[in-house]
Amino acid sequence: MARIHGKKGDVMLDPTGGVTVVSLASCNAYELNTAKDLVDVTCFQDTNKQSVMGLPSYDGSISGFWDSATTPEQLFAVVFGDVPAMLHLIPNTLEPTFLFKGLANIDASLDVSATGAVSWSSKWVAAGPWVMEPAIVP
Amino acid sequence: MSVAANVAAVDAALFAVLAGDAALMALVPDGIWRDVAPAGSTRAVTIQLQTHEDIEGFRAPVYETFQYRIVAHVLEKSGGDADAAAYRIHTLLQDTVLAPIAGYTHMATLRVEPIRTQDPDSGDNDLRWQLAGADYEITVSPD
Repeated sequence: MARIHGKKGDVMLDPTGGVTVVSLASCNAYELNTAKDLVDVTCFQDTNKQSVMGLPSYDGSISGFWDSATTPEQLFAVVFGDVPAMLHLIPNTLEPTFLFKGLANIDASLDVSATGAVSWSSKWVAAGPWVMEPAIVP
Repeated sequence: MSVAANVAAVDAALFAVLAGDAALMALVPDGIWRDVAPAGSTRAVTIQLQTHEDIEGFRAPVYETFQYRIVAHVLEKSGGDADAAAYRIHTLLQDTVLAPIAGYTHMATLRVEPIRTQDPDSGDNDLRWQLAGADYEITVSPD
């Protein structure tokens, strides 16, 4: 496989936190961050700053457009609930076995303008262990 | 997987609304035309698609935006009837629901910029074409 376009990306979730994920409708972008904490361990006589790495954060964002047939049930019901959702982030549905997944706490905001489409955006952060599939042993 | 809707359906809906309005047709009896009115027309409206944009989602276009230039062309000394036609077009389109559009659901129609100008007739410099209308942005969601 070669470099790919984001057109075939997908966001799938199970609001119960289970394994039955379905595609989030009217979604057009997501972001996944795995920034690690860096702890400064620079000491006397070191010739440059040094650090050690902590764990990856696993957080990000999702965005799309409001559709009253799907957005309230699929997104806002999860936001207003108390159960972390199972989230699958798929870079390319033509290779659906390559994905990142895990439990996530999700929030959402709505953007309504008199001159544009009604859109929503959401931030998520890991609520349990996340994995990349297929697993790559470092 | 959804199938892309036919963009011509938006043109057709626009034509139907304008051509179906008796008040507008009384002002521009030579009709509604795409790009250019036929030779001999002295009171007509032209509709020109200027730009189109697909806003993509992960599995299908989420919505599409069309920008049309809609202008009344009236051969007259003052711009009275051309202005009246432009105002009638605006009343019919601005912030109203454009329907039915085969394969789409209408989201919004908004004026981008009004147009009001005049041109000398190419055959007789004493005659004036009064042009009045606007650019309209029409946003639709594929069904």
